[in-house]
Amino acid sequence: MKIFVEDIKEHLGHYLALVFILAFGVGALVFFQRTPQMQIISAFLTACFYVLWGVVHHYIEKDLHIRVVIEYITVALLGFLILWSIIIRT
Amino acid sequence: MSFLLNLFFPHFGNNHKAKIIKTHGIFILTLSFVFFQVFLNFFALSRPAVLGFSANISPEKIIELTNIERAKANAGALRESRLLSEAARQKAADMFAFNYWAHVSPSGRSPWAFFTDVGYRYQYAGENLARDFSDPSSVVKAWLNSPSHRENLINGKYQEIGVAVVDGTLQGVETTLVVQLFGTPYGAVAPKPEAPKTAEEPIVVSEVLSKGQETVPVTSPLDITKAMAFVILGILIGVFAVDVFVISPKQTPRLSSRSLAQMVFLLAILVASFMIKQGAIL
Repeated sequence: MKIFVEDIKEHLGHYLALVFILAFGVGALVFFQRTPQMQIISAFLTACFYVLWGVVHHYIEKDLHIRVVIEYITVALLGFLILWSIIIRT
Repeated sequence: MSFLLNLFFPHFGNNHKAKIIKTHGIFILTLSFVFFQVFLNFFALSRPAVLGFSANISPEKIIELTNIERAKANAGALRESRLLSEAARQKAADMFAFNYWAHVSPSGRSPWAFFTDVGYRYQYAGENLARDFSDPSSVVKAWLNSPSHRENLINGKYQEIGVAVVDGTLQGVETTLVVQLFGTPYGAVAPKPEAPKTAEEPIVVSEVLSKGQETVPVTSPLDITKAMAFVILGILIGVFAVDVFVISPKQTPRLSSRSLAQMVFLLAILVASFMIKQGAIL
């Protein structure tokens, strides 16, 4: 737990940026409640920015690898598809 | 047991990362989700009465499509009647308020009561109902495929139409109701002696759903999609959380994405999924 907290403290700026990206994305989805096209664009942009965050974070940490990028893309794709499926059914 | 351990828990045997949160594990989950959605779409389209739908239907489009079909059948185009539209809206509101899916309300109120309530004196009257369709063309197509609804839709005796598309919760399911009312104002045409369909004897109407289908517990594709999303997100968030708390203390060196970031991202998706609410865009 101590190491976990230290990790967050060490990368506080990174994680705050991530929280900001995600909060902004969720906020946009709620804000565009009656406009599905805008909700889909918001979800897509949030997923893209998430991948970008991962790339930048690992680049700074000097452990950027294509495998890592693919992991972020896969999770971002799953997240986007889940939101997209829900949005098109509303 | 070993399989489950490999799938959900990071240890030496799976290279210190649960298989389900490895790239191929998440990819398989993503593919499963996509296949399930495709299946859900096919099932919902083939059984619209079983799976509820939220819809993007406008009354104008329903009227336009109805008139196109009437033109094909050489029946005259219908004029939109504000009174009939209001009667249709009141009928839909009544169905949601008293939670029924039928032409006659549980209290015995007939469709024709809504005509007279808004001051529409009719010579001929008819009603078509639909629910759980996603687009106007599917609604009109379903009515055309049913002989009794088709008879209403292309009946040359009608001169006016009113349509209401109303969202609400019916029998515990969020759905969209389409109420289509036909009418001919009293005295607009001289009744033919051989076909005395008077105001007191409106054309017999029927429902898109059969009586048997009324008792089928319906659910909406949205609810099913959300349920599946919550299960997938719940599992992944849980496994990423275990990964964070198991791997971090050990400081196991590995080339991998940050599990904490992945967990936070999926949590945001979960929150967003909860917050996205159903609603038609008209």
